[in-house]
Amino acid sequence: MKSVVVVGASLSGVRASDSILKHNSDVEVTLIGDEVHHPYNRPPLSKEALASGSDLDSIKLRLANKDGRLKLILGRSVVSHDGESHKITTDDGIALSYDALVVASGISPRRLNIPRVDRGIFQLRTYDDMVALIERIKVGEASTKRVVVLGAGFIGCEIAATLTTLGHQVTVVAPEDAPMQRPLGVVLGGEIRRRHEANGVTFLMGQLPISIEEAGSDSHFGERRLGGVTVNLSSGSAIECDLVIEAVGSSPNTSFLDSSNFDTNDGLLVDETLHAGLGVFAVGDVARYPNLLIDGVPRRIEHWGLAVDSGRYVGRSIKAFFDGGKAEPFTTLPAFWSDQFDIRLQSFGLPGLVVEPEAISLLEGELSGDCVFGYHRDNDLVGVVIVGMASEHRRLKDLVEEALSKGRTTS
Amino acid sequence: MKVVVDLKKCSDHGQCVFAAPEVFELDDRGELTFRKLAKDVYVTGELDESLRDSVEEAADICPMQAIEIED
Repeated sequence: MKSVVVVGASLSGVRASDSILKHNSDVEVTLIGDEVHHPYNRPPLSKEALASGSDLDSIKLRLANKDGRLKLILGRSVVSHDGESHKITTDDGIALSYDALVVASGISPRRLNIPRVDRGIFQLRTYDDMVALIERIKVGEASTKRVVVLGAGFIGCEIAATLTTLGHQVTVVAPEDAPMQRPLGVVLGGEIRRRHEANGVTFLMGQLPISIEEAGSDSHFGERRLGGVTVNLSSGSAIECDLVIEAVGSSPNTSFLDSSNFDTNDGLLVDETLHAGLGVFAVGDVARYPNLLIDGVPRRIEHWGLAVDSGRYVGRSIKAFFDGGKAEPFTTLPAFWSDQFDIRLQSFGLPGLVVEPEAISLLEGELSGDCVFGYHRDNDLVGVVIVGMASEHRRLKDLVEEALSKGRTTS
Repeated sequence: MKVVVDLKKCSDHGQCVFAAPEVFELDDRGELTFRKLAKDVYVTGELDESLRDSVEEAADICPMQAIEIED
């Protein structure tokens, strides 16, 4: 039996574990996660689970244990890696040898490097984060909480929508001109802002928080509430609130690879078969890989779907590696979705590659209703973002795939 | 092999349709067609084993993790 160690027991690690067992009958998998909980699905944490306060059971991920060849280690993090001797070490000092290693360690939310109080500020990445946030929202007499969300990316906007729907008063603060500016662009991002505002969200765009301090009792926002904090902004204004949620992006978890000779500049650099060399593979958010369907430039993609697709793929890549060969490249079309209020966004391709506003255009529909935006590079379509129009998704996915294949052969 | 869809969890993202168009379909309003056949849980009839890979993919790619495979 060969041994494969998977570092990270979230979505990409779980799907990797499934596919390794499925495609390699002579392999045992050790799946190591740093959270104590059974692996679970994260997207509901900012949406359905946050809204309903659901328990972990309702978001648990299925995890195959084909022929009992899976060993699951939870509540342990991997702290170091020795590529030459094919070993990793966990934080309780256990060394594990492997024939192949899958890095599925994901990302951690960033924190702003500003003066801050040590309470009242939340992040949302894990189930425990969500529970802590829900607990804080419940505390105090006022049932309506004043919430400041720092960051107008997908997570920030989803949290804003969910908490506003629950009746809270939410202000989003971010440095860009429009929410989700990358990848939506300013026009569609601006329209999504308009829809959020119509639902009661306040946006303070083009502003940075410079400090977070205890709310003063001389607040002109009315009676001081217990435990309130004040967010001071670059514009000189200040917002008093009951809690702050920091959703300002993330950074890949690769510190345990620091002693290896791999390129971990921005995630772990791997080839088109997700192989970094020496039997080390990467999947999900942490993998910086070249997608030959697009342009072969290595990049990290923080999409839920990529975690699934790369995990499902890597079992075949590892089989080919064990057989002394190389698998067909991983070329799945990137895709994402997001639900905010009654807005459903679906994307295919990589709209985030396109920055110039003139390369982004309304392809179909009306901006104020259901519509499709196209994102172009050198006049070739590289991605679409669709608002609504669920029954058209298949056609639009094919459109992007065809455009990318065509762009590749002509360039 | 049967497919069990939790229609309370399902929110009609339609990713399953890409993975297993032989089994899943959205109607013109963008709703999973199984909604017309059941309220809470829909269980398909016995499916051919040749569909297993695509049905597994559908279960994996479901954003709400609302699809189970029953043997």
